[in-house]
Amino acid sequence: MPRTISPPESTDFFENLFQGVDFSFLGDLEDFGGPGFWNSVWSAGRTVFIVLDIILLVAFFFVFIQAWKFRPKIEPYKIRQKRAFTLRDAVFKERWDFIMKKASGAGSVDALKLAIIEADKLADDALKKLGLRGEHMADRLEHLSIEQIRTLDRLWRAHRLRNDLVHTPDFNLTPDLAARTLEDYRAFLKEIGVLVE
Amino acid sequence: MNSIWNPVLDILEAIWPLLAFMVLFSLFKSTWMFWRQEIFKKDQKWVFLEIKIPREITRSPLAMEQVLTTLHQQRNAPNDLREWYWDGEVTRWLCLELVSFGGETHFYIRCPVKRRGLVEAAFFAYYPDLEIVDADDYVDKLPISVRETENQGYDMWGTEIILYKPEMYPIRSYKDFESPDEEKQFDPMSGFMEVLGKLKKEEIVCIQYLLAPADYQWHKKWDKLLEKLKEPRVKKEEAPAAGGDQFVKAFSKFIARSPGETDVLEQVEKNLSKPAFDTTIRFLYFSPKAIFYDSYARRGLAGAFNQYAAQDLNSFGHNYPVATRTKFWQFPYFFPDRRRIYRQQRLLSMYRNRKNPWKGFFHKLLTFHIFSGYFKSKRITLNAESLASIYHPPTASVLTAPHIKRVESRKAGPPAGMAIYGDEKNLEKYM
Repeated sequence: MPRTISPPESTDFFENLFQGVDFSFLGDLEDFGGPGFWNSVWSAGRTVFIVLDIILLVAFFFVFIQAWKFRPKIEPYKIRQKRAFTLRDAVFKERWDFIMKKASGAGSVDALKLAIIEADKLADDALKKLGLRGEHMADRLEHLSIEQIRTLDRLWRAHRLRNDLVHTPDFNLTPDLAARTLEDYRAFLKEIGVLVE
Repeated sequence: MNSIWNPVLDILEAIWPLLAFMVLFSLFKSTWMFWRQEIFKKDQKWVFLEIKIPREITRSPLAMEQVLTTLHQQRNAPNDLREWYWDGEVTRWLCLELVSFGGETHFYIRCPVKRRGLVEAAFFAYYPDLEIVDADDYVDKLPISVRETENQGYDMWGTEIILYKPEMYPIRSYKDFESPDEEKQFDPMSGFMEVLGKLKKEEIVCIQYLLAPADYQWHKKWDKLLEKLKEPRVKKEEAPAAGGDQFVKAFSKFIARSPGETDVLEQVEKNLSKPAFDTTIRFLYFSPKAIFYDSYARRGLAGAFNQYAAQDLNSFGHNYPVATRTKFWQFPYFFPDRRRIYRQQRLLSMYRNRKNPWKGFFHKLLTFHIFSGYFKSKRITLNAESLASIYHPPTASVLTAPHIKRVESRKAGPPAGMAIYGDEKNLEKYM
């Protein structure tokens, strides 16, 4: 029995594949590569970029607000709020002014010596008034730490110098040293608020 | 007039979305990076240590160079997209400090908590007699603002240190101060020790070195300049044709390099061959107003840094636009006092927080303040040898016994094979 081989229908394969698919939407692009095509690509791209621009703008503002919080703060006039001891007393201020007037008026080393001794007494009275207990000024100072009073070191130094002044015979006080010591007392009094700027 | 601009306007009208995209994207990216990086920096945990110097160190600063080279290996850098853009990872930095309170000098080091063991190991490997102990951060005792400084009766001066010439040129290193002759052995650290030791009781000087290990390829940046330096120079005019052959003619055009030039080239190449650190050097000087003398800091400390200067190589100098000296006739001419106060505050808070200057225009703009621009602040790249020259535990040739608190004993390991009682957690392993 003779066999008949039917020819393959592969030539029709692709035609069959797309049968029934509507290609009319490609109508706009029928001039593929022509000026009309590039125009539509251009305007589509432009629209995409405009949308991206808007998204980026919003994102930028969000990130900017976040970043702004991390900006270093330059605040030269800020001071630590935690102030352990304050004392505002007009009498103390008057006494201090009086001491300074005497010290600057006389100009001799003896007057400076006296001023230092009186300034020390004033600082000690201030410490007492702040409620620090102890037999001597040194005892009262022991209660304080540098965290509470930032000028504590300077007050200690001034107090030691005053002790040297009182107890050591022939202690040589130079005007320069005296000025520094008085400055130390002033710094302490300023810190606790007896003296204002 | 109109007709000339019309085409330009037409083009602009057509492509503005693209231009806007490019501008917005770069703005967005730098702001984003700033935000993420600041978060990363803020999340770092630090430990503050004091280096106690033994009575005598016989090691040369080469030991410090080795310590720094070891520490350089700890460099971290963002590798993948997440680390770059989400974590905002930056290279962690180490903070070496040299501080003098009224003449008493201390060596401090601040490092990330987790690296403490590695830092200690690096130091102990080369300086077995050192002691590294926990310390309270002295910065808490410094005033937080200019107003507080004034309230305490103090005045303040500060600056940052930069290199005058391209970083490719090295400064003079400790090797230039060494010699087999005992009479010719010097330690440049003595310059610092003496200046710091001369402080009056109330004065404070703080110097900080912030070191972030730089990329291993840091020398690549200088390849072009180095190439130019290597290029033989040629005479402009034709050499006289002395009847010789072509070869002699061509050769006679070259100018031989002078011994000095050869030396510079050699030094530069050596400099580029060692691992480097992105460095910020900053110092502050506090003094009671009565004895405040800004030349002490401006000239005295600068003198200590000037030991390393070489005219043909490199030298340190103040970064004047950052320093706290403002004059009416300096740019931008207005409010010199106010500018000084804000610059002081900027330096003080940068010092207190141990921050590096920002890199890149937009980051600088973000951190800008009208009275303290800080635009000119920059990091310098110094290699391990240069850094070891300016910061190392003073050697035996520094005679500053009264100025430094020293450790009074020598250390040695226990005999090998000693029985150890207790388990792992009872052992002190310096980790």
